[in-house]
Amino acid sequence: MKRFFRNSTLIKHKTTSVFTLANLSQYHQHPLALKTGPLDELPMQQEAKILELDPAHPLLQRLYDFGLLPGTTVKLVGKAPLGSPLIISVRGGRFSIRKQEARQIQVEWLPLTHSQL
Amino acid sequence: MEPTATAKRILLVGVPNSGKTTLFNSLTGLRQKVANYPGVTVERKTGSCLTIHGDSIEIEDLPGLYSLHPQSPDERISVQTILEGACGKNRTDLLLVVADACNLERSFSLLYGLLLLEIPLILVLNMMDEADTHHLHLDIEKLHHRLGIPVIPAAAATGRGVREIRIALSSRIPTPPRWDEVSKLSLPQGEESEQPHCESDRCLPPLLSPRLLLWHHLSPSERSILPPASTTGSSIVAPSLEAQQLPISPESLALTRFRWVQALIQESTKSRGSLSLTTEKIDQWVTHPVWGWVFFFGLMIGMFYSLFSLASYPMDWIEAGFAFLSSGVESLLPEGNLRALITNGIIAGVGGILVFLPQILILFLFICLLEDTGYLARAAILMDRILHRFGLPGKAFIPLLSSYACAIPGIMATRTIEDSKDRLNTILVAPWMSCSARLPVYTLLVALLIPEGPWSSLTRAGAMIFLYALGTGMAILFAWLFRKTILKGKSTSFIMELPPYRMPAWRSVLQEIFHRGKLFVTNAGTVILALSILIWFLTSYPQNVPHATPTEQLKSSYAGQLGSWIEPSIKPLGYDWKIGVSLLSSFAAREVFVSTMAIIYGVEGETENLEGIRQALLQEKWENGAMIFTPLVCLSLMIFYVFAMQCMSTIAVVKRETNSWRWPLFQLFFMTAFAYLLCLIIYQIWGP
Repeated sequence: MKRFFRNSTLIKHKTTSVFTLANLSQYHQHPLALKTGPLDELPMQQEAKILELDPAHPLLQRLYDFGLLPGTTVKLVGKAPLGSPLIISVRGGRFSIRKQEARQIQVEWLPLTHSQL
Repeated sequence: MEPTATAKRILLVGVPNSGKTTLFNSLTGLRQKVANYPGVTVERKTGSCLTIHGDSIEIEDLPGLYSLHPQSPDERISVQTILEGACGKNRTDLLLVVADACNLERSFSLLYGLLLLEIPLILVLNMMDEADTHHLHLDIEKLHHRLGIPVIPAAAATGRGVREIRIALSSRIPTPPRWDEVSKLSLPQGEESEQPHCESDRCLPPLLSPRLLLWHHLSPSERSILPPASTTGSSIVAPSLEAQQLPISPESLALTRFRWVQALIQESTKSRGSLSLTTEKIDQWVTHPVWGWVFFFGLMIGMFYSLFSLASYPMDWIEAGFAFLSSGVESLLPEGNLRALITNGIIAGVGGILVFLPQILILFLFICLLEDTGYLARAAILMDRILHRFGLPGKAFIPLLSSYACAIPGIMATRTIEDSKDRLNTILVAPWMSCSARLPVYTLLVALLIPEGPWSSLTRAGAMIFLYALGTGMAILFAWLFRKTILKGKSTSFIMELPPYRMPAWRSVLQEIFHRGKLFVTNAGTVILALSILIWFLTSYPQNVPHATPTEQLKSSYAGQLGSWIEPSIKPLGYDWKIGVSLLSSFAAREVFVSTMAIIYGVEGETENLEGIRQALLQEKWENGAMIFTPLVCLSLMIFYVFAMQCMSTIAVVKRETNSWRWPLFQLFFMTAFAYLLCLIIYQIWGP
């Protein structure tokens, strides 16, 4: 699958470099749109940029202390065996957060880097 | 050497897992725990260190924190101590800030807040050895130049840089950093960084006064520490009223802070290096849906198995040693009260308890290793989904696991739990986790219940696991019940930093085990020795009947009278007055049950070891000739020990941690009543 896309013409288009099936529909809707959504819906190893934190988030201050701010790059690196909590990598460290609290953080998916493809 | 009143006082500050405690140990020589789990240094620890001139310096090791906005009780202690030091409410000469060279962003983000205080600082870049292996090169000179404070590279685990820190502490106190110099960093200088971390409209304008920034960084409860603006003579004061009311959002503060951090890192790193992926790879295995659980349960089973099998050899040696000692005393001293005191009182009492030293050491070794390697934090993640369902946070796993060793460190470890109801709930159920003091009691009762046979070691281990599971299960069940009744409230959130996996610092682990062992032995040598003598006295006096049989003598003794007095209340459980005496003495410490048994039954025979006590107990009969220690009574006693609150030290610690008598008394009555009722039901249903 990945190889197919790498050889396709799509890759030359700079703004559409996220290659998952879920993303294709998005691409068809709006060619310039990057996928956005809550943090807990990120696939494994997917990098994303934080758009917004819910101002009523119960852990807001702690998230700020860990450096989770609008514009920060985060990556989902693991999940506990029962699906929650998630393990998030941010600013060279990693922390764990429950699924429902990750849900209150909106992110924008970043293009996969070459090494990940 | 004791620090004098004029000695320099230094606060050791840093983010969790920055190696602060290791540095504290190598500076002061006063050993304590070094662990990977965030916030394990929950106790306030001070030590003294000698300067190169031979003067004494006082160092206080503060709990780790991420910013000046505390989220948990132990962070609150740190922030308050730092602020009080900065405004002269306690004497603080210097902050020694420990930064993790491999995780500069979090360390520098804390540093930003500390620089706002404009008090003397020394920055220690710790874990430089790890940074080197990852080819992460830092420009120390540039950092020093930029921040205007001394910067010392170090690796506390290997001792690198410790001498330089000592020299820096010996020389005169450095001039405090100047905020107007430090803050210049975040001014836009041409090229923006690769990752724009701050959309300009959301950041704060540059060159705000440090007082104003500090005020807005603090949480409302800490703001009151700052003296009012009119105060003179204090280096930091609260900003003016209109500045206090400025609409500054926490988000813009954090954005500004991290922009400064980014700028500082960009200036000071020569090469960014590549962080090791080892931690990520290990995490993929230990959080795997199948292998994660296999590993977790394998580890737990291995831990409990070695607790009982490995420990049996040194236990045999200790038993043999005390038997030898006892027979030696008997051959040297003539028969009489003195010999009885030494053999039946002291040797039987203290020996009966020291036998359990190997098991306690192995348990602490496991907990220490799990903490130091970083696995304990992963175990907390694994357990979070399950514990969360019962109203406990995943972080409660660490206090609860520590409570298997002893409820006291377990209850103190709850300080890392941010939510007060979660914390109280964990404290309330922690004493139900079977602590190591119950181990001697279980070992004796299980041996009594299951006679020696071809499969006995296996069935005995099974019975032990049952007792541990019973306590744990009930703890979790009651946590859920408490959350539904007396501690009603919204279920709380969970966020925890995962430290990278590190090799345990063996020296520090061994020191910790040694420290624990020493505490246990000194306890056996003081409290249990005194109780042993007291119980021996109570069981041997008054000696009014000259030619009474030992049983009659015991019954007429003070202990016998006391036991007979409470017998009516415990008879429905199947206990006689002798068990009553042991139960009462257990309230000093549970393990005293075994030594009391040894002493009480020692009156009727020579019993320095487990098998001796076992034989003596099996011969015990009621007046009508029926056996006392029937399997049912053994079971009922075990269950009583699983559930009853019988530890004065735990009560004292709960009082200190909850700051009221309400909760410890609740625990005392609720747990004991529950144990009594359960035993009553069991004995009345299945009993004769």
